[in-house]
Amino acid sequence: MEARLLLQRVEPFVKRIGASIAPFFLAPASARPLGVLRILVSAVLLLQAVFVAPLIFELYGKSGITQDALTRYLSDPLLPRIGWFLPLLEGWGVPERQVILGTCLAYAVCLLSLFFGWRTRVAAFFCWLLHWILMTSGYCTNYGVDTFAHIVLFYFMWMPVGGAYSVEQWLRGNPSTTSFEARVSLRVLQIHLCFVYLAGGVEKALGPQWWNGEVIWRALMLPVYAQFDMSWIAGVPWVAKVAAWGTLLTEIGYSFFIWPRKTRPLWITLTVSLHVGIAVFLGLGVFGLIMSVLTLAVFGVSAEPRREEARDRVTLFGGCTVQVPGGTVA
Amino acid sequence: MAGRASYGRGMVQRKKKVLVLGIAFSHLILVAIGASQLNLWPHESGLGRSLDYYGALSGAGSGYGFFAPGVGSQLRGSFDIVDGQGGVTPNAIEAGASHEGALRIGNLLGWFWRDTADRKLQRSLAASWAGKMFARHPEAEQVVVRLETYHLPSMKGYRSGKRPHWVPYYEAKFVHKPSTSREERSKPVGSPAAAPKS
Repeated sequence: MEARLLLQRVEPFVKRIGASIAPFFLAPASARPLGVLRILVSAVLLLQAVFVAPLIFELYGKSGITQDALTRYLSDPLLPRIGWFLPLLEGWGVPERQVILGTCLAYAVCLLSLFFGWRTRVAAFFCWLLHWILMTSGYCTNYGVDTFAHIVLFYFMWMPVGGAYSVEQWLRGNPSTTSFEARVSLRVLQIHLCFVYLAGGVEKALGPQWWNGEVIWRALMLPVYAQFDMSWIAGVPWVAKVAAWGTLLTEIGYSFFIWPRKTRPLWITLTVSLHVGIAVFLGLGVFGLIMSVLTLAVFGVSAEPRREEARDRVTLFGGCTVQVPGGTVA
Repeated sequence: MAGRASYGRGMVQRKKKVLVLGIAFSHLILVAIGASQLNLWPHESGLGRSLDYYGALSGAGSGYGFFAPGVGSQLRGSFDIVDGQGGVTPNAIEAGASHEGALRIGNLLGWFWRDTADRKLQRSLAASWAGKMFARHPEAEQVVVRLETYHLPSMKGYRSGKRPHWVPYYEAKFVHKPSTSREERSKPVGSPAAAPKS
């Protein structure tokens, strides 16, 4: 009896929450942001592939800079790697260099297919799988850009990223599709990015270097990152401090200020500026590009359906649905 | 009849939405746990291993503490190639690489001080790199692996006249004996400094 009374009290509250959450996650959305993300991410990864191409045998080979036995020791043996299928292929007379070259070429071809949006889901699956294989094979060489590429390629398998600006859509004669799947996909990406920046910002804030500005000085002066002579900053330490605090504000504030319409353009600008700064001053070009692309596409491109976009179906009152041809709204 | 069919389709659509939302929320919970780097389940159990594998497969288990809590130092590797006549040619493992390539090789070198207590791992890494230099230089009879760490003073120290410099961190000589496997004589230089996390 008491449980029933409690349920009766809670039910309207739950229904109100559900009524506000449902449109946020499920209202039909255009696939345009996902299409833009697909094109830009695959372009960045193709650029990265060009830079890494001269080193593929050194990074991924059994007798690379770090030998395969060591890489297997340092990484998880259950993760897929070139070494899994190398014995089989070598048994068929395919030398290791050709296996590595073939894997990398296949990855590049799949990225091209993803870029153009042709056989998108199949291309996304193979991009994700081949990227994961290369990541594990060159385990000791990975850094942040590989983490984000892996995450995004995983998402591309499930999200309707071929629903806009793609050869597939062009062949169907529609500019882009509208669906609840696109809305859910976008929300997942947006919330994931909020977690990324909040966690990153909080972890940074736990270090004294981020409060006294030393982190900026050290990052700019370490030979691996230094692109210009920035030793003058030692004479104006407040510049380093402001840059460090600005980074903390941008990252920690991302989760709160990227959502409201009034603050979104500012936070997109701050975030992209941060990553452009990382690319220019620290030489982390590919990382800066992919992070900028993520925020620009996911928060900067409108997902609101346009009248001319095709709708898979329109849900009317009482759950009745009608198939709507492209260009009209029932 | 048509109304009942469309009602049925509506129910299917609603169930599909609930399923998709459930999957999305579950994934985002794992993303949040990964981002916070909390250890919430025993990693040896079947469920724990499955969650860890999903985290690796999807990237949900990733952490995002780049340059956190600060920026540490840098390791530089240099290699002396000694031929049969005693001639010494200095070399670098990232010679000729693009900046992206040099970054990745730098990450490789950084594994040397991930666990400064694991001397066996350090020797194995040095041996691996020496092996690469032997492969690049078939005429070599010895390869000396030299690692240096970059000492960067603080901004205050820089203003007072201190300057950054490279400090020897590790040195090992590898000798190629064609009749037997390669023999290593390692000679750590001083005691290895604790490498701050970068």
